[in-house]
Amino acid sequence: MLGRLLLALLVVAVLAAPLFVNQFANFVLSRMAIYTVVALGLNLLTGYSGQISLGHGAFFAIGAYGTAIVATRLGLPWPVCILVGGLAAGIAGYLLGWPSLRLTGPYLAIATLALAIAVPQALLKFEGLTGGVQGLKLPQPRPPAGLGLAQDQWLAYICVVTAILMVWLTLNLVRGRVGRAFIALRDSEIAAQAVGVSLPRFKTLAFAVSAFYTGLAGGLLAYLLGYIAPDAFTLVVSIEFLTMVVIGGLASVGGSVIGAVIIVILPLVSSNLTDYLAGLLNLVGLSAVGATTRGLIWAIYGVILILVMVFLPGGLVSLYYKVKGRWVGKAGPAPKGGEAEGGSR
Amino acid sequence: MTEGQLLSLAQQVISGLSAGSIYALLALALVLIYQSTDVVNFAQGELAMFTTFIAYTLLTWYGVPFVPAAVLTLGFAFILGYAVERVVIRPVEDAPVLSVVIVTLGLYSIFNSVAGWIWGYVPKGFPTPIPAGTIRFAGLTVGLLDLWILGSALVIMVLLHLFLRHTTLGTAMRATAHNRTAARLVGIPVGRMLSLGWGLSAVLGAVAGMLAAPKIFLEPNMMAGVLLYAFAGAVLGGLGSPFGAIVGGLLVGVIENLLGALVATELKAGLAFLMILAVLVVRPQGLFGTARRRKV
Repeated sequence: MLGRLLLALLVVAVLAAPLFVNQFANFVLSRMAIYTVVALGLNLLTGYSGQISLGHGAFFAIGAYGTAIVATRLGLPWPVCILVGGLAAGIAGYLLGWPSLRLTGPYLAIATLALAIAVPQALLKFEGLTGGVQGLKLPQPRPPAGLGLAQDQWLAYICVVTAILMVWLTLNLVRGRVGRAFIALRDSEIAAQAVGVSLPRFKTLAFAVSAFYTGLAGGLLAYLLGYIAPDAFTLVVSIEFLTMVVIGGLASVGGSVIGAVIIVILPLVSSNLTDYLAGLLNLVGLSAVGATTRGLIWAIYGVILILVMVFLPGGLVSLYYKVKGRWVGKAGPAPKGGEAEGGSR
Repeated sequence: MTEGQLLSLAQQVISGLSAGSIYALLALALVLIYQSTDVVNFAQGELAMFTTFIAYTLLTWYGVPFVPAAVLTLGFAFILGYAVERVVIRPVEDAPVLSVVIVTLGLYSIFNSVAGWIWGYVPKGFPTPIPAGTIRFAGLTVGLLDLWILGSALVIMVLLHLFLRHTTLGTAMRATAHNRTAARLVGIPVGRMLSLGWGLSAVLGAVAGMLAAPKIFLEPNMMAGVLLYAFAGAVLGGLGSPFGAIVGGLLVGVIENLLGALVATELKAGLAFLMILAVLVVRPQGLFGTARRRKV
C-alpha cells in the first residue's frame, strides 16, 4: 500500500515538475523519459525474453529518422510521425527476429553488433533520404495555445507522458499472457514449447515490441532536439542502452526507470569525475595529448558495467528487493542477471 | 574472360588475401578464446588497437627501432591479455553468456576511451619496416606492404600451430579447451591455461593491429570495422575451429575486395552484417565447425 502511495506521489511530482524548473532541467527530464522508454523496450527483449541485443542504437536511429522523414516530407502532425517512426523500427525488429530464431547467445550478440555498426553507415550513404552527414532538421511541436506552456515545458510533457504510458503498458504486458510467455521461453525454450508457447511467434514478437519502444523513443528524441544526424547513433549508443538496463536491473520495470535516470545524470555529474580520473592517470605518468577528458565517460561506463556484473548482477533494483527482504517481485522473479539468458550453455 | 580481366581478378584476390590475413589473425584470436572459455570477446579489437598504440608510442615518441618495439609490444599484449582474463573475466567465468558479453563490452569502452584520451582521435600513420613500392611478378603488380602483411600473418599462424601442436604447454592448452574437467584431473593448472589463452589471443590481436595500422591509420576506432570482418570470418569458418577462422578470415577479405567495386565504402559494415546473417541462417556451425548439441 505504501509502495502504491509513493508511486502515485512520484508520478504527480514528475508531472508537476516541468512547470517549476528551468529550460535545462526540462531538457534533462525529457531525456530521462526518452531513455526510460528505450530501457523498457530493451529490458523486454534482454531481461524478460533473454535475447541479447547490441543493436538497439540501430532501432533508435530508424525511429528517429522515420519520424523526421515523415515530418519533413509529409508534414503530418507529431503524434502520427512518432508512431510511424516506432512502427518502422518495430517492423525492422520483427524482420531481425526471424533470423534470430536460429541464433542464441554470442551469435545473436555478433549479428546485432553488426547491425549497430551498419545502420549509421547506411544513414551516411543514403543522403537523398537522410541528409547524409548534415542530418535532418524537423519542426518541433508547438505548445497548444490555450495551455500557456513554453516550448521546453510542452516537449517535456510529451516525453514524460509517453514514458508514463509506456511504463503502465509494460507492467500490464509483463504480467499478462505475453509477458509470461516471454519469461517462459527465456527460462527454458523446451519446457515453454512443451506447454504450448509458440517459439517463433513470441520471439519475433519480443523483437518487434522491443524495437517499437526504441523507435518511439527515437522519434521523441528527434522532436526534442529538432535535429538528428548519424553520429548520434553510433555503436556506443547501443552500449549505453545496455549499460542502463544492466545497472538498473534486468527483467525489472523499476530497474529500467532507475537505469535510464542514472545514465542521463551520469555524464552531468561526471565531468568532475573524469577530470579527477585524468589527474590520476597523469600521476602515474600517462600524459594526455590534447584530447579532452570528456571521452573518459565511456571508461567510467565500462568500469561500472564490469563492477555491476561481478558484484551486483541483479542491478540496483536488486538492492531494493534485498532491503525489502523479498527477492521476488510481483511482476515476476527479479533474476540475478543470471537467469536472463536463454539457457544455451 | 580475357587475359587482362583474369589478371585484374588475380590482383583483387591478392589484395583481398592481404586484408583477409589481418581478419584471419583477429578471428583466430577470437576463436582461441571462444574455444577455451566460451567467451566471445567483443574487446578483442580494442585490445589490438591499444597495443598498437603502445607500439606507436615506442616507435615515434621514444625512437625504439622496429623489431625491439614490436617484441616489447607483443610482450605487453601478452601481459595485458593475461591480466584481463585473471582480473575481469575469471569472476564471471560461470555467469551466463549475457553477463560475459556485457563485461567484454565494458572492456571495449574502457580501452577505447582511455586510448582516445591518451593519444587523441586524430588518425596517425604507422611506420613499417618495409619500403613503399611494388614488385612485378608474372604480370601482376603486388604492393610490398601487402606481401609483408600476408607473409607476417602466415609466419605467426605457423608459429602458433607449432606451439599448440608440438609443445607440452600447447598440448595442455588444447586439453583445457577440449575438456576442462579432464584436464584438471590430469594435473593441468586450468586457470593458468585460460589466462595464457587470453594472453596469446592478445598477442595475435597486437600483430593484427600492427599489420593493419599502416593501411587503415591508427586511431581509437580503427578496429571496429576489422573486428566486424573478423567476426564474419570466425562465424563463416565456425567459431569453434581455428583452421576455419583462418580460412574464413581470408575468404571474407577476398569477398570484400571482389565486391569492393560494387559496394560503396559506407555499406561495408552492412555487407559484413549480411554475410554474418547469411552464414548463421544457412549453416550456423560455419564451414568447419561442428554443430553443438544443446543440453536440455
